[in-house]
Amino acid sequence: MNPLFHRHLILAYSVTWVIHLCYLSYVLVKWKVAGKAQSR
Amino acid sequence: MKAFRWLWGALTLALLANGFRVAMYVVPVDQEQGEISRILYYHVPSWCGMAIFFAVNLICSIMYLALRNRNQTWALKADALALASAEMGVVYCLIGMTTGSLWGRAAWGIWWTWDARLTTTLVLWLIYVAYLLVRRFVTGPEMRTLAAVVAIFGYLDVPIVYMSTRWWRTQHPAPVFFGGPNAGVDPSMMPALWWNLAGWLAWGIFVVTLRYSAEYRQQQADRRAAQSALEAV
Repeated sequence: MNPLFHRHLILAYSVTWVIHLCYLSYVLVKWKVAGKAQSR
Repeated sequence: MKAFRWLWGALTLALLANGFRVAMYVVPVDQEQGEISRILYYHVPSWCGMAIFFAVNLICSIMYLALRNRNQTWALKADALALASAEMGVVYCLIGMTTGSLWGRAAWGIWWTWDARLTTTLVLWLIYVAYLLVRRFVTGPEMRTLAAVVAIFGYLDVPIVYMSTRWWRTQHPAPVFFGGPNAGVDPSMMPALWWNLAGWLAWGIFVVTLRYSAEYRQQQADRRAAQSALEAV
């Protein structure tokens, strides 16, 4: 069986990526805000 | 520095892509659990990441307390790194619990149980969420000192989480790594684990350095604003 068709496995890998990408977005927003504050 | 950062980002993505390929298509499937055992390759690196970044948070918190009255610049740098590593540790801990819950649902038929490992891990996650809330909502010059003290006491739960499967035999499997003569995974499964460990740790370092830079720049801006306000009086 192709592991890509295993529901729980794919869900676990997807959730990992979603959480990491959400946190990365938050960090990039903080980065942008701090850059603006510094240039003021 | 900027070029190095994006080079590191590209290397991280390459490590993670290869880690995914090896985990999915190269290493053999576990004979007892089947395909679901491949969650191990994302589950274990999350716990390693959590342990490393909470340890960094502990060291930086101690450094902040030691330096705050002697060297303000280095103390603030340590504080910024403490914040960045705590956030990253919380993210890894959340992922470890989520992937573990999905694995538990497939293997045991339950999403959650109040066993020793799971409960102590949830408590650890809540302690570090409380640490971040202290940093967010406490105002005044003592906020950083208070947060550093919370971090030092919070870290006491990390060895308890690690030892929980050794001290109490409940639902969670016995330790796989460093667990004695009959513990461990088959050597054929190790490449997937190493690639994903390397990839997710590189990812953690990449994100923590970005977060650290953002926090440090914000500290500088806040200091300048406070200085200007004092001069205006």
